[in-house]
Amino acid sequence: MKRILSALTLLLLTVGLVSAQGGYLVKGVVVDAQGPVIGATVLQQGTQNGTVTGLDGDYTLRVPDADALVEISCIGYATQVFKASEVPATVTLAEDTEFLDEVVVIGYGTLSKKEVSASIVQVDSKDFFRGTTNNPMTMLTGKVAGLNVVTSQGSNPNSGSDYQIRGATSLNAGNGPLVVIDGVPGGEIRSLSPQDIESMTVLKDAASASIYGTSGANGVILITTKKGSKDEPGTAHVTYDGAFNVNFVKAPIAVLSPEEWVRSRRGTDYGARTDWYSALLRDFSYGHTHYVGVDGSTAKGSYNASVSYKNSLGVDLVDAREEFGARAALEQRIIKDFLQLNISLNARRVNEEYGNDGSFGTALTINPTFPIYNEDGSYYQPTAPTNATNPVEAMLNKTANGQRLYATGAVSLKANFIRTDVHSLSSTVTYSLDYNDYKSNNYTPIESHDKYWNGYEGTASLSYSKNWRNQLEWLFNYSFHQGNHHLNAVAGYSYMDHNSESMNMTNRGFAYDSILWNDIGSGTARTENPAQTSMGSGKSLSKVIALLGRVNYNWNNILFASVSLRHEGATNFGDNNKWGNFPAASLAWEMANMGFLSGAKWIDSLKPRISYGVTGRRGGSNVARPTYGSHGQYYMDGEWVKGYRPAANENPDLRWEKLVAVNAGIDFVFFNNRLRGSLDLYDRRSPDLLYNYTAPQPPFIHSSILVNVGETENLGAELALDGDIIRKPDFGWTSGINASVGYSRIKTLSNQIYGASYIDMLGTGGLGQTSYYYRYTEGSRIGTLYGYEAAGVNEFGDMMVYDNDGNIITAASANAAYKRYIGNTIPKLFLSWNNTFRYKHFDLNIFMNGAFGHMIYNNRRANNLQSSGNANVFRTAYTTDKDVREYGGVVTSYFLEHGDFMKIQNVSLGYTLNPKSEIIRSLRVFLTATDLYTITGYTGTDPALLSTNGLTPGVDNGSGYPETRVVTLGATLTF
Amino acid sequence: MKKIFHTLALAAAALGLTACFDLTEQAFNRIEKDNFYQSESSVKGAIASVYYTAEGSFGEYFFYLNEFSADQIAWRVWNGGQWGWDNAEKFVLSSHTWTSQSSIIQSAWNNTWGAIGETNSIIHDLETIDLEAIGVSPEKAAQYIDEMRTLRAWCYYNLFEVWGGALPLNTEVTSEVPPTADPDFNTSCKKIWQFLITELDESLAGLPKNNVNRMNQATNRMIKARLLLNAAVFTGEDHFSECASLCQEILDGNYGTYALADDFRDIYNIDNVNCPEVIFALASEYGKSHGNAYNCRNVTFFPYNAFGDPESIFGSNNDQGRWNCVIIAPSHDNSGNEVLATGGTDTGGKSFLFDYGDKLGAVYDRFDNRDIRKKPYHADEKGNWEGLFLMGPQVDYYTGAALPADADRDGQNLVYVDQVGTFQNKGRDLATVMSPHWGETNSGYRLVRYPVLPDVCEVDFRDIDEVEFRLAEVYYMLAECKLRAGDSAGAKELVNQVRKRYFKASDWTSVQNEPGPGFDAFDEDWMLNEWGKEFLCEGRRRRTDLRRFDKFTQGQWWFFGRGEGDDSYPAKRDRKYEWFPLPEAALTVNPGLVQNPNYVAD
Repeated sequence: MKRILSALTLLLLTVGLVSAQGGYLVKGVVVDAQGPVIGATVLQQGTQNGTVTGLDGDYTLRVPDADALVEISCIGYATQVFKASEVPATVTLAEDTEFLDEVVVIGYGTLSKKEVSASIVQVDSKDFFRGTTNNPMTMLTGKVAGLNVVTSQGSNPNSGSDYQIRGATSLNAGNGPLVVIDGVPGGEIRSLSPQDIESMTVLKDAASASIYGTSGANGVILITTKKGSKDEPGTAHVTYDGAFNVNFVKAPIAVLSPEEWVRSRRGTDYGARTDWYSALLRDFSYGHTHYVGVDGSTAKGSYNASVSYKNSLGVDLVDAREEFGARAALEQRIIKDFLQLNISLNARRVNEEYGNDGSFGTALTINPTFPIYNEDGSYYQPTAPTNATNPVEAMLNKTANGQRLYATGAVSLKANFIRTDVHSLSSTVTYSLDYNDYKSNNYTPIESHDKYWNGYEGTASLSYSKNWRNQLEWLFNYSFHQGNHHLNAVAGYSYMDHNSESMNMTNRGFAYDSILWNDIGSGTARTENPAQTSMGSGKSLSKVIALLGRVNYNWNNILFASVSLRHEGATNFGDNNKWGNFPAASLAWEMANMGFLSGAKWIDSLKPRISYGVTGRRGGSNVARPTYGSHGQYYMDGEWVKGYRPAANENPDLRWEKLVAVNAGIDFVFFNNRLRGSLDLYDRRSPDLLYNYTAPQPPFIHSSILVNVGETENLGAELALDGDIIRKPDFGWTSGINASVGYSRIKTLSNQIYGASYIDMLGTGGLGQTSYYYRYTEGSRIGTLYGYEAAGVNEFGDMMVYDNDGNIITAASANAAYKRYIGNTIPKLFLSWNNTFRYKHFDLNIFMNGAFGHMIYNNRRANNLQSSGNANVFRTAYTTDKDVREYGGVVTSYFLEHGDFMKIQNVSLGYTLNPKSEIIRSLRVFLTATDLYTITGYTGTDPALLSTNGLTPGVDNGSGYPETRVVTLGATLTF
Repeated sequence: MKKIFHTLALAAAALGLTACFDLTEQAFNRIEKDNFYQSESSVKGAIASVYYTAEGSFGEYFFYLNEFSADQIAWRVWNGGQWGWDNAEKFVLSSHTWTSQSSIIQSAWNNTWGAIGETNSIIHDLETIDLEAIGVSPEKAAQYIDEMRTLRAWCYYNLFEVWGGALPLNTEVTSEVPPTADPDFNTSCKKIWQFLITELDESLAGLPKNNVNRMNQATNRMIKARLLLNAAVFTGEDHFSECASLCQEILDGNYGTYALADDFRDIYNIDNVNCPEVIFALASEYGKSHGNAYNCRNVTFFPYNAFGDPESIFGSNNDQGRWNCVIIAPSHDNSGNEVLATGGTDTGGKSFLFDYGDKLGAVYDRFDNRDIRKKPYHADEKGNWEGLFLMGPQVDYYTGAALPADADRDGQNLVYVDQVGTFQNKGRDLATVMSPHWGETNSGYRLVRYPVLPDVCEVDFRDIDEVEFRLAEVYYMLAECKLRAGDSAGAKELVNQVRKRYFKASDWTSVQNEPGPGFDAFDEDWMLNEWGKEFLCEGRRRRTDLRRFDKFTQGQWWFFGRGEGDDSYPAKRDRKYEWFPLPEAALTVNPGLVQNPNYVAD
């Protein structure tokens, strides 16, 4: 990517060529070891005056005088600078290994890219998506093979994204990666402005993540924020970055029009003809963001500060989000650089307004002959079916909002004890506090559906929660460089506590709507009908303490090795298992630096590597030890007595869930850095799975117990390829592909004490029991749907299925024993394809991503059959599914569809200018369209919006929330 | 490496940094086990929890198991087979098609063993903790232990009626997983039966008399009487004479002072704890007690317009959810000349009782027309109420205006018919006899077991305690023992002592000598019929009645046994379903459990 930028610079320069006349003429040829270099830049330094070499590597350039400095550069080579009069006729460029010298952030340190021996991908800010986003994580969508980011409601500014690295391997302890912001684990990425992020590094294998112990099993995303510039002391730059976006709603799934609904006699015609869906949409949904940052350097340090503002309106009538952010980072060196002090502060205030996401689902199914309003202008209240609500009323006739505060502060002091050419030793103590709180407010007015159905005259509820984490780390860093030996070591102590407190209350029966929740005690229910009110609070504290160490060794830039160990304990483990060890090792071999490849000049790097590591996951707290908790009440001796009982089935042996992983890969750079890529193969096993197993009753009091039983495995491969297909002065085309394949499988579910022959997940209809979309047994792959094999419908419209003897019977009477695995919802292949074109000052990025080889259960279709009561239904009920009257309420293969899709996720056109102005250093404007088009045969929700993560993906229960295309116009200005 | 770390850790500790490695877990919203017992209040808190757990279980799951599987109450689905289908969780009970994976079976199991585990824990604690330290005398502790043993026996009794000899026995706090009491089902039945008799006898002494919301002596004796009455079902041996003498002792007042209520409504009214007939009732209060009891026995029957403002059947604006799912078994089939606009047929269909001659089901027709309960339910603003049924057109309490129906009859009036069928052919064509899968909003009469009074009375029906044991049952048990001993006159006399209250004096002269509609002798069919009327919707139809008269799988009622081969309800009755299967999840985690042999092939 660096090359693209330099190429861009070059383009700009060619434009600057126009009018150079007179002065001193420089002529010559540019070559490298192989011969002429085409397209090298020859530039009068510090100006726009320049040219590029032709087919024979030749060039001519006119400069003002013989003393002018001429800079000759080309991507992949070291830049050379000469006085005009001293430029040799033949300039020989030497290959530049800058690409491999890029610094990569790893846990508790950094490495140069060439030294990396684990599976690590770093994405720098210049490669992030430009456009508006709810969550900075979406800037990585498709950028990292094996990282899957799913944003299901991108057009709702208050909704987030779900992300997962490689396959899901945990049943109970979560599959989301750890986010580490500037060394502080567990932070909320939405607390940051995207513009403040310098880079995001994804630690994919266990070897790189095991330094994070029981937090690292799902991979780690390290976020590094911008620091002060390293420019000449005293300089400062100001950056303004702003964008404006407009959301365009795509057509929802077609339902019967009011006329069709009446004609098909679905229910009582109440006279009106209402388009409920459109009634919930804003006329104009837009958002804008503004960011101003300043960064500079001082004699003994540097600083970086920014403020940002963001305002987004959802496509529905109510949802909106406003963010105010501020950040400052300061570095100061003291006592002849013996001490280094770093301080950073980040704060973000978020105001959220909530609509009612459920309203869209209602809008698609409610009787379209109900009016929205009565004649007097009040909301129309449907009287049937039970609990029916007018979706417009449900959306508008309430006030719901929330406020969040994120605040993070870190201070660290580093002492450099030894700094010689051979040895260096330093020690750093860092303290950080990460705090966030959230208050949400809700008020439903006196006159509302709530009164109609439940008799509540005004409901106010408030909830407040705060979480904070203290972290103290004391690290020692040692490095040794002599001859061919380079060694870096880190060791230290880490303490973290995670605190959380919450409270909530609900009261009802208010006299004035205007007070909202602001005098919640004035509701009459508190005294007259306490059962309609509620009050609650909670507090928890968990601690994780660790000793950690790692050694990285580099022999002659040929062999790279890393060994690490984390010894970690946590409060929520059982008394018998407080501490665990998490070792890791990795090794890489740079073959390009071996003698036998010295002839193959086109190989810049060829580095096979292998790694092994153990990481873990933690379960819930307060389940290992015997405690009593409140449980109900009973009337005893004339009063109601609060009941108490053992709060959970204790398990003193409870420990962490393990992940043991092996990763083999190869990194390569060929053809003068023109083709770059890596291939990874991994095998991840999770033994000692945490799961809430059925506890034998008797003797246990509770029906489940959290224990470590079972094992999953996850195998896969990832390929990343990036190539400069065209590298011409005026035109360039860089294309990149990320592909990943893989699957997860349950290996075992039982041990001697706890056994399960299967685990059911994601409940749905069944016969006499809750049935589940997923039944995982030993050997089953994650994502395999469990249901009946459909055999069409009979003459009465009953869904028919096969029994185990091949007979065809009605689904409504099918025994659970006839269920089988009917399809897999995890894509076999994830693919993304990124293309960047540049032409002079313009650049164009087209990004596509897709997933292939998976099925989706179209539950929306199943719930929209002709027999769905009086509700409005999808038009498919009268077309595709017209023969199905009764589908039996169970999962059958009838509603399975192929989920393959390819999506034009992003198209972005940019124009960059480096004006000759003294004030403006650079200017870039861009126009981005997101979510342009999805190519798919799937008929329900856009399959790109449906989860392909976790253990229960691919069931389309889409809420009906609008899907949108977003167009963003933005600009970045640097002063 | 580990050694180095530990050495480092040790070094750090030596430096006074133990806090840096302290991983003791703190609980903020829980009480540490060792600190739990502080005073007698703590003991009461632990006991309160057991009653609460039991209330949830018996009020809901056991009610479903014992009523929906029997002939009087059904969970009916409406709106084209869609609404209330609920994964057929309850439908499988009505149609006798449950399996070892059925949800209700699982829930009943889990909850009750939870309650038993709690009693074991309390008994263990009271036997081991320093009672003096918490100010509880040994005598008081012994009383609490007896209360817990009786409550535990009641829990076991409920399990026993459902699972019989498949049960394990566990009276200890242990990590040992107990197997089924005996690998042989019948031997196991005997062992459990004997265990319960012994437990009840041993725990009698410490119990109070007449403590209506807690375990008391009469309740203890009634559980034993149920064990004796049903001994033939449980163990194959009959203990009717022993049962008769125990019943007589209860009636004689040996275990507390009780009497039949003159006015049956006293049993169900808000002050029923003072009713002399009530022996044990689960305490109930909105917002405090479990709620399952009042949920099941009332609101499961009610439509959405039961409560509301401005319209309401009961003149009550109440936020209690209404389920509209449960009906009393219809008395009539769907035959007729034409279908009425609001559902049902013009002729009202043929009576299962009078036309088909069924001895079971047909709830409404079963009541004598002179019975004061056989009326539409109505309460006045003074709180006087009459009748048990929501039937025919439903109107607003205050204005008398017709109330609307919903779902499949949206836009029409709510008119309850004593028939169940899909009269609009939604989801299926109308058949003469249809299962509860194919009801409509208007299908089936509803029951008001506990009165719902208009708001002006300021009585919340959810505050009425839920009666589990009452003296009438002792009369009926004794009557049945006499009948089985050949004394049908004695049986009739005892039953008449109870049911006299349901008739005007003028009617009673003739009614007292009639075995009731559809019956012509004071025989076993009549006795079972009387059990059904007296304890309608009180949660014990299957357990103490149908099984004992061998009608549970062998009787015929409504659709049950009349299937035309449609696999959604049974054409044949299968003895396999006499007992319920152990839940599959329990079998998986306890290799010592022996499944009921009838279900092993599942």
